Amino acid sequence: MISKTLPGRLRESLPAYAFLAPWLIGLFGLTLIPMVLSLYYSFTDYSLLAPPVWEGLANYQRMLSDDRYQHSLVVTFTYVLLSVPLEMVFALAVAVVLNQGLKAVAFYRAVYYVPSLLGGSVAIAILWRQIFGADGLVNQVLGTVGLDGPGWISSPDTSLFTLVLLRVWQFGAPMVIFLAGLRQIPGDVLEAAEVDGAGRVRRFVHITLPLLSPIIFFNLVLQIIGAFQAFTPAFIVSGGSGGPSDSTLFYTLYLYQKAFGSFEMGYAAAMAWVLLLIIAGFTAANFVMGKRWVFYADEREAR
Amino acid sequence: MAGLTRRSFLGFGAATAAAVALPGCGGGDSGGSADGLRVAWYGGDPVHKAMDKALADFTADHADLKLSTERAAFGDYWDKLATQTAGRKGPDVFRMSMSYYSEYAQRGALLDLTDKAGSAIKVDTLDKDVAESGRIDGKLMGIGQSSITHATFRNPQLVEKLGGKLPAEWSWDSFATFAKDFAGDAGPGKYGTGDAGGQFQIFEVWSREYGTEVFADGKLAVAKDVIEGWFAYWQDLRKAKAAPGADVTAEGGSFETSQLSKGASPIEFGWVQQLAFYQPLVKDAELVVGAVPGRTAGSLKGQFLKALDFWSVSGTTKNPDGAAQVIDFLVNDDRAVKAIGLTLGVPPSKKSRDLLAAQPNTPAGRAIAYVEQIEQQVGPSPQPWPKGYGELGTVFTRLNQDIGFGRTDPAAAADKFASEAGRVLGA
Repeated sequence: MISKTLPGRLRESLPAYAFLAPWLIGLFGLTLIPMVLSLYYSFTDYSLLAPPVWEGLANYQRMLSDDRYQHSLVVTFTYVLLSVPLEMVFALAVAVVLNQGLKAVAFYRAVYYVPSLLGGSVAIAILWRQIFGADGLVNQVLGTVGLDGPGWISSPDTSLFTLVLLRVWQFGAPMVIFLAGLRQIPGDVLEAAEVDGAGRVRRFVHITLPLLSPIIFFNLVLQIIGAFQAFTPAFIVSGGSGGPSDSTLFYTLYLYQKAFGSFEMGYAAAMAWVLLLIIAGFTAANFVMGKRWVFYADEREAR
Repeated sequence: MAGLTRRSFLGFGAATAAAVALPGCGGGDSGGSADGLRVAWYGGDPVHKAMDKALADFTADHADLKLSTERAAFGDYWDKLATQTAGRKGPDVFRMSMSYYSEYAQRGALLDLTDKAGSAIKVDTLDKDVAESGRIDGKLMGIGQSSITHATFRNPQLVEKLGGKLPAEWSWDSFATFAKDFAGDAGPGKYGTGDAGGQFQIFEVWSREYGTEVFADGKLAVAKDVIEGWFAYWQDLRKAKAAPGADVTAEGGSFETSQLSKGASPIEFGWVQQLAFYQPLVKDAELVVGAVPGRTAGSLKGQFLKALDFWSVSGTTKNPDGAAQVIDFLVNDDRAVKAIGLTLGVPPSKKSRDLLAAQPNTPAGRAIAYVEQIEQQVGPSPQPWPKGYGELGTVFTRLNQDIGFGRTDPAAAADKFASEAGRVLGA
């Protein structure tokens, strides 16, 4: 009977596989196979134009003595450490304000969310270039009060901070998630605290924040990963150079330059894998530390 | 889902399958079939318009060939071409710059055109130097599409407004004096010259004036103190405010944003054909094209006349004959020469130049007159730039920037450049 049931089963499951096919093709063709290949390339000297040549750990060793590589790490870490906390605080603050029962909350939510939708786009980065250019909007406003502003994006002292600001400005996505989280906080708990005489600040610190901590954690993990992978703004604002004077040389931008500018695909692949490890490390650290401060309501009930 | 019958559902499925399959077919075609050709180039809007016009005439002659085109700005072009070439999907005919020529030629990405030259592609009309410029390791990997030389673009009106006069010839010393005087007279926000310190290709003129090529046999040949002298020269001009500060230059970078186009400086450095790009941006004056300063006034031995851009054919093309026809048309046909004008450089044949020089008051006419005037005085052409040239060019620009922002000094920058060159060129 076995010989009869197997084809029968196959016939039964065939439609399922057919419907899964696009996803399976995507998984293997666009994710798994390229990943395995890139791991292989990271151990080779590969110029794109000629076949790869195996050279072991040379690419990884090279990072230890590559000044620009290390500089790109410094730039990227500076960017992540500055932009993520600022963006989170901003997003939470706006979410709290919007949660106060404003009439046109849907309108404001949409308005604040728009920059995030446009965020990765080239248009916004170009706009940023215009706003912070030497003759841009910021300096025109400063000019009206008699101040002579610098070329914000063309001076290495300020260029990175304009990109931090750009990221903070795109706080819409975490803000919407915070807003959803705030809506979940049971009103009776807050009311009970109010009856007991707890003020606004006390209620926020002792009730809202702990109950919101899973949401904060979620946003933190996502934003850190996103910030490490930031590419478009630096690419557009610096014209692909990471300049002026390498001040916006993000990790991903340097990787891109190596891959397509100087045909060092092997080195770039190695850099990509190190970035993966760095992000994995940060995420793992987040989860370990999260145990101390992330508070799940159902955990307490279980105890 | 109420109105969805079994039949219409199946019909929808079939349509989807067809839609998915069709672009696949199209992709196969453009990958290079025997009767289809993909032509790719880099440049700005004037180049795109000119090429479209020229290729329209070609298509009219060759209805049997399906031509498709791909265009990009210089920077993006190379990212795309490298990726396409790696995937063996490179365009059939494409514009190739000497900055990346060795990279592609020595890695076997280009078709050897030795057999085609002289038969399918007429090259006897081309200037001798241009016809041979594309030869690398004995193989002809590209047909020179233009001959170009270094130039300075000058706005005489800006100088005359301040009571000055542009000299016909400069030494680097007298040029510095001129730039400082102009900036001093014109006041803040005006500069005697754009900052060419980061232009690796103009540095080549400086280097040759000291008797050494920048590269020899694929290695850096120029001495460190010559590089240091160049960086120091521009640092001096920036400090004297005769050249714009590093932040001002960092914000420029295109023809539109250059100090010359903004009317903030009477001088910009570049390649001769760029006169055609600058002139429309400087509306109130007729720009003059002149030589780059020499160590002594009037010395032109640092400059050279050479093909720096080529038409190349992909090593994987399925239609080498069609590709050759396109190249022959672009280089030799009068309609193409007229349509392209000066956008790719000065045409590489006397016949084409005469065609364009017929109107001496156009930018094309003036640029060609300049080339013919200096032709006999310039030095010999250098070898094709080595593999890694493109990367070194960006290193050079960055180092000049670092000096401008006070992050390093000319001596350290020259050291750094030499060590980078050693790494990139494989010392």
